[in-house]
Amino acid sequence: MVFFDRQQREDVDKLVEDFTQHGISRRQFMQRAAALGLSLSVAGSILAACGSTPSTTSTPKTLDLLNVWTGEEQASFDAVVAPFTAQTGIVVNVESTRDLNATLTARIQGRNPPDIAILPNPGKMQQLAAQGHLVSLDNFLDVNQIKQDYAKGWIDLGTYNNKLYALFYKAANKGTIWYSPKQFTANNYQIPASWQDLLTLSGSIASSGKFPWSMGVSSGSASGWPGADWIAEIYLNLNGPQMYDKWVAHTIPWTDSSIKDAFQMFGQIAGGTNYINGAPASILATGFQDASYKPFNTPPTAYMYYLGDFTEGFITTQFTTDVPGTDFNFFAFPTINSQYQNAVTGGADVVTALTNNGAVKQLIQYMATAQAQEIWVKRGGFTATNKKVDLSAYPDQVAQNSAKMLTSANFFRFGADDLMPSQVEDAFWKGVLTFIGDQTQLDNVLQTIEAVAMQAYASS
Amino acid sequence: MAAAIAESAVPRTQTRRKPPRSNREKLIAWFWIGPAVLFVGIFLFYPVLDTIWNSFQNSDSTVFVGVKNYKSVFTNSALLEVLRNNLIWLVLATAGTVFLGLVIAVLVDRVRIESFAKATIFIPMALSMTAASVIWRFVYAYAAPGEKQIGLLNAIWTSFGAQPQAWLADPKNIFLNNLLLIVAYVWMWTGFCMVILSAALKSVPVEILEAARVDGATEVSIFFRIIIPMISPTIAVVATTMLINVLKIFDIIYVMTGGDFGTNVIALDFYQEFFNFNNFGIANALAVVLLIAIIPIMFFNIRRFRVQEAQR
Repeated sequence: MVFFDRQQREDVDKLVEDFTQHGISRRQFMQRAAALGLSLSVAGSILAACGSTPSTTSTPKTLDLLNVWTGEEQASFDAVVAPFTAQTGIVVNVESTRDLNATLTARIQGRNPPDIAILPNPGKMQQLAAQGHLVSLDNFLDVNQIKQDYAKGWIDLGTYNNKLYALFYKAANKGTIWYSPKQFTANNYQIPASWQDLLTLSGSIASSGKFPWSMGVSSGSASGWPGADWIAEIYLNLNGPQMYDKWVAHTIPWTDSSIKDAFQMFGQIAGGTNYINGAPASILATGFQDASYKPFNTPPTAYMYYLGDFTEGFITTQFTTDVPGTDFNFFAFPTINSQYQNAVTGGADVVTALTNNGAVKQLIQYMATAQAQEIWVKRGGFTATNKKVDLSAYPDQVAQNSAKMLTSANFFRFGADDLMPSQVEDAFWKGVLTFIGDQTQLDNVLQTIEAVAMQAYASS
Repeated sequence: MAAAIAESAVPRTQTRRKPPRSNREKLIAWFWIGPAVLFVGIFLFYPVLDTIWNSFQNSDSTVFVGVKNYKSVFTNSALLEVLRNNLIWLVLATAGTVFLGLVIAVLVDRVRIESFAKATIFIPMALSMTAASVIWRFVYAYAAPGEKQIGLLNAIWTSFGAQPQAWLADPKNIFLNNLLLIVAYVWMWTGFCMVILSAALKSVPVEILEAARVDGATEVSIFFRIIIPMISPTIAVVATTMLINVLKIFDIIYVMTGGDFGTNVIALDFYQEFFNFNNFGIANALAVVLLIAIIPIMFFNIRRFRVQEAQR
C-alpha cells in the first residue's frame, strides 16, 4: 500500500507510534485508521504487522533518559539511579545536555525519542502533551498514592486534559533573599518584613556608602531569567494568585497595569540610587552565579541577593568553609500586600515519559518514591516535592528551612516564565534585559512581549 | 614590454572548441559521478525542497499559510533587526578580513621574518570558532567598578582612568556590540585571507615590478595599478569565500551574547525558532531567505569557474 499524500503518511506513522508505544487500544486504532481513509483490510494488515499486543508488558533491559543535569548534579542523579539499577537490573543511559530543547526536538522529529525526558519547565511539557508525544503517567503510578504523597499544586501542574503527564521532581523555592547574618549583626541591620522595610534598609545601606544589593542576570542565551523570577515573585505578592494565573494564561494582556506595577517595583531595586555597583551595566554583564558571591566576600561588596534556594549550592561550593546559618542564610521575600502574605513562587524539574514499556514504568514508580528523593536531598542542593521526605534528611538548617517554607506557603505558584510558551518566555527575558538597561522603555517592552504573546497563543 | 606581459595575464574570453564526446564516454562519466549526484540529491536537494515547502506552512507544518511567514520576516521588527545585523556583518566582516589580509600580505612580503609573522597571524585559524568566541568573551569581560578587571579590554580601559564598560551587554550600543563581535571574527579569519593573497602576490612577476620602478612609479601606484589588477581573480575568490562564510555566522554570536543586545543573526534566529520555539514555519522561511541571499554569490562563483574553464 503506497500513500501518496504526505500528510496521510505522517498521520499513519503517528498512529502506528501511538499504538506500539503509547498503548492505544486496537478499537481506537481501527477507528482512527478509518478516519484517515484507510480501508478495513489495509488497516487490519497494518495492525497485524504492529504485533498483536501493545508493548506495555515488555520490559527492556536499558532505558534512554535525557536531562539537563551536568557536573555535580549529574553525579547526584547517578547516585539516585544506582539503587534502582541494582534492584531491577535495568540500566539507565543518561544523556545530559544544557541544550535540551534542540536535542529533544531533533530526536522527536527523527522518531527516536528518549524513553524519559526530564524537562526544566512545565510549559514545554504542556506543548509536548498537546502534540501527543507524552505517555500518560496514569498507567504507571498509583493515583491514590500520588495524591497522598504530593501536594495538589504539583499534581495540577502536571495534568493536561485530566491526565497526569508529569512528575515534579526537584523543586526550588524562589522566595529566598540571601544575606550574611554576621554582616547584618555587625552593622545592626534588621531583616525586613515588608517591601517598605526593604526599601528603607536598602536606602540606609546605600547612604552609608555601601552597596545594599547584588544582582546579575547574564546567563548566555537565557539571560534575563533571574529578573523574570524577581518580577514573578513581586507579582504574586502584590496581586495574588488569581491575577497571577490570569497573567500566565494570558487572559489579561501584558500591558495590564498590574504587570506594569510589578516591573516598576522591580525597577525600584534594579535602578535604586547607589543600590547596585555599576548598575545597570553590571546587572546585564554579571552572571547570576558570580553575583551570588558578593554578600559573602571578605570584605562584602553587597549585602543582599535574591535568587532561588539553589543559590546555597553556589555559595557552599565557592566558600567551602562558610557555615550555613551563621555565614550565610536567607530571609523570606518581604510582604507587599498583607492580603497575600507568605506567597512563594517556585520551580521544579519535570519528569515525563515518552515511551510506554515496563522499564519506564518501573523507573517512574521509583522516582516517585520518597527514598529516591531522599538520596539527593542528603547530598544537598535538592528540595523534595514528595511530602513523605523527612525534613531531617536535609543536610543543614538552611536547606531544611527552605523546604519547610515551600511546603507551608499560603500561596504557592510555579515561576511564571516557565509556565509560558517558549517564545513568550524568551520575549519576557529579553524584555527584562531592555527594561534594566533603560527603565523608560517599559511601555515598549510590554507592548513587544504582548505582540509575541498574541502570535504565540494565536498559532497554538 | 611591461604592458604587453600584463595583458597576456588577462584571461581570454574566447572559448576553445571541444571535440564531441562519444556515448560510451558519457556513460562512463555518469557512472563516476552517479553516486555523488545521488548523495547530493538525497541529502541536499530534497531537504532544500522540503524547507521551501515548509516555509509556506504554519509552525506545526500542518496548515498551508502562503506567504504569511515571509511577511512576518520582513515586517516584524525583531526579524528585521536580524536581517540588518547580517548586512552589517556582510559588509564589515568581509571588507575587514580581505582588506587586512591584503595589507598584511603585502607588508610581510618585504620583511625578513616573513614566515614567523605569517604563522603568528594564521594561528587563530587553528582554533574552533567556539574556542575563539570564549577567548574574546573573556577579553570583553566586565567587573563592577572597584573590582579586579579580568577582561583585557576593561583592564586597558580602566588603566586610562575611565570606568569599566559592559562591552557586550549594553542595549544602548547595538552597533558597537556587533562591531565587537566582528572584531573577533576578523581576528580569526584574516590569516586565511592573508595566506591566499600572499601566495597570489608571489606569483606577480618581479620583472614587471622592477620595470615599473625603473619607469618611475611610486610604491603606492605600483600597488594600486599593477599588483591589485594582477591578483584580482584571487581577491575575488577570497572575497566570495568570506562572504559565504559570514552569511552563515552562528557560533560567535551564540557563545558571546546568545543573540541578546541587538546582535542576533539569521542562522542563530533560525536555530532558536526551530529548536526552542518549535516555530517551523518562520524558521524555514529564515533559512530560505538565507539561501536566496547566497544565490547571487554562488552565481558569480559559477560564472568565474566557467570563464576559467574556458581558458583551459
